[in-house]
Amino acid sequence: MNSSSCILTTHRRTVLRGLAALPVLPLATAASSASAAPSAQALLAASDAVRNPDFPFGLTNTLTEYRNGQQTDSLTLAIVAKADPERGPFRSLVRFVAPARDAGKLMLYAGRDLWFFDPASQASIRLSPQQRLLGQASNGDVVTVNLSREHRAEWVAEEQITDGERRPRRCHKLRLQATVDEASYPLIELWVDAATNQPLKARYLAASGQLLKTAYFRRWQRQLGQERPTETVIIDGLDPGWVTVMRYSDWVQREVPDAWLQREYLPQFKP
Amino acid sequence: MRPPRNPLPPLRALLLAALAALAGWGSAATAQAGAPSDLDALQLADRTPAPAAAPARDWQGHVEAAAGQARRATWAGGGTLGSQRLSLALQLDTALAPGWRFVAANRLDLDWPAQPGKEKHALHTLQEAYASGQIDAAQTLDLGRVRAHFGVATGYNPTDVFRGGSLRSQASADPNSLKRNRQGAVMLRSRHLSEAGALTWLVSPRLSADSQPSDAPFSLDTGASNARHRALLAWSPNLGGAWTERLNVQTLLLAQEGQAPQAGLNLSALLGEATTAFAEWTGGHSRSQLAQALGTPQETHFHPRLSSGFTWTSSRRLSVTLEIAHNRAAPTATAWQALQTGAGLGSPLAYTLYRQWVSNAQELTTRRLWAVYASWPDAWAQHLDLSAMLRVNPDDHSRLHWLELRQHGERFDVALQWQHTSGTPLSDLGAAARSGVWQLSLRRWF
Repeated sequence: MNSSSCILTTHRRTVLRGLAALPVLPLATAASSASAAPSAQALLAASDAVRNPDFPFGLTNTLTEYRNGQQTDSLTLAIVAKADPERGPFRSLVRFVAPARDAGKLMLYAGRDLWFFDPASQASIRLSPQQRLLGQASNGDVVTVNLSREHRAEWVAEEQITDGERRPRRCHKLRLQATVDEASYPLIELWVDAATNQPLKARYLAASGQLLKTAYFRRWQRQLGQERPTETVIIDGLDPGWVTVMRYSDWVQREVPDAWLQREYLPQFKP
Repeated sequence: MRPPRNPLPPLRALLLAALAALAGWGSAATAQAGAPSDLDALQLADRTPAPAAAPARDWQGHVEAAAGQARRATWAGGGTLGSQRLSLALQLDTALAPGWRFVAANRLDLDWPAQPGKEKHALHTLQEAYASGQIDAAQTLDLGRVRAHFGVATGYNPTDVFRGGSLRSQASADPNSLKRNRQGAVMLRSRHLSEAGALTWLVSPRLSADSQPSDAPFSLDTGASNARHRALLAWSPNLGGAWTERLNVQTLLLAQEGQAPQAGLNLSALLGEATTAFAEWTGGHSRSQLAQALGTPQETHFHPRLSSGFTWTSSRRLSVTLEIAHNRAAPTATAWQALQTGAGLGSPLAYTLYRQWVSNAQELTTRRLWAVYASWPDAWAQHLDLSAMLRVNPDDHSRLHWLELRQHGERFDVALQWQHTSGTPLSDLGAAARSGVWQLSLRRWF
């Protein structure tokens, strides 16, 4: 009955203000230097900065879903995101581009303030965080997420893993514990490249420790000033044959007026 | 905690890496024999084609063919009745000039037999057609026929002041379908957004001397949409702090020709990870609904209307909404019974006039209505959505049940709907001309 029932979608959030002040660039080399060794939280902040620009931006996220090797769904979203200077989390406006049945629908993410707008009915509906409208992808997977704001990081080990491109990478393994209610996952294991701070792999866990999803960040390209992952591969924890590929394209730095990021503007939004 | 001060010696690191790689890549395979591994998933991702450029067009629409069968009420002749429908819906949102755009939506329904209460088989609805200007980053102006929607409840929206006269064509009992298919009213609307909140004002003039809905196939139906002069002011404050994410408030003030000003309030709140709550209220002096429907003079009284409830979503994405509605301007159970039986003000003509008035105004027939709405995307299989509705009128114990199964693909939807009403022949929900309705529809998006 809810008009939002027919939808899918995505989400992720972004960056720290004043991040440049942190000693994040020489992290890898610093790991071997006792005096410059960064904290686990700084490592996490640095990996956030790699994934997400610290200025308002837009991109296109194309989600392709597979079940047992067969494509079962696809969805294209246009996303604009902007850091909230007061509340900290990123605020994102997500517009459905494809498929045709969902084109033009909007979702507003502002922390726990979630709204869905259907232009066909001109009605906006408040959603609860559990009322996700996408398939496998959670809100936190799609919209820009600043993990360092929502989690307390603990350094676990230095490990060599095989990354999403099947190359061996030396990583810091971090264990992230959620510290705010709006965190998408209570527990995350994150592997951050020891030389570049690039987040390479994450395992998202329930509070019980059960594996919910595994994600690989890959297809690194220079976008908006630095190397960023342009693809995330999400593998379901219970059903490894359930795979979602999220590809990011059309990166652009753009003005995102605060007026856009409130419920009342949704009927007017036209990118 | 800090990373180790001394990295692992290269040889040991290499050995550990090999073990880690073996453990990592092989874990899934060893845990579940034959199950896909992370490597399989990455290879699958490798084969994913590059995203195609999104179609750059400013219009969209769908065509829908439907066929069904219903049991005709005894008073309407009895027996079973077959029905067919063909619908075409188009929406346009195009740039006119820098900062200005033109928005339009229309719908054409061809029904055999004609929809209940209608005489013509064809019914075209110009849902909206307006120019929209972005005056600056914070202010917009709209002029034309606009579908202005207010309210936070699912079924009964007392603050949705432009719902009256908006139902020209009714393809389904689904409240969401009713909202999608409604026609707007001609108005001038302005929105001003600031850090303090959002202010909306609008004026909507009376455009027809005959304030009656029209059944003419291609009528603009301004007699229904613009039956009286109206002006509305709505203010949505930014509450600031933690309240911003948990509570949304909107206050409204409506002035309309022939009635005292009405105040309104919309509240929606986040109660936890899985629950939202809503309440919408209006109040003001007016004659009773019965007096308005029959055109009889009556002293005005303060009549509040309220619709409130909550929506809970399970971890498997099943959302259930409970909604309780109350309207003090509607007849009490006793007055409603008198109207049905012809006692007091009641007569067959009065009953018919009142039902028509309620239907056109989208008001409650009696003082109370309880409803449960359910929505379950990907219910038992991927792309199979289940929607359901139960409405109960506790004043006359009539009920409406509605169920839909919808299988959707990228371009096509197939839906099976069932609707059943129960109650006495003149009761609120049991008086439908058609009951036991089945409908199968195929929709093509383009």
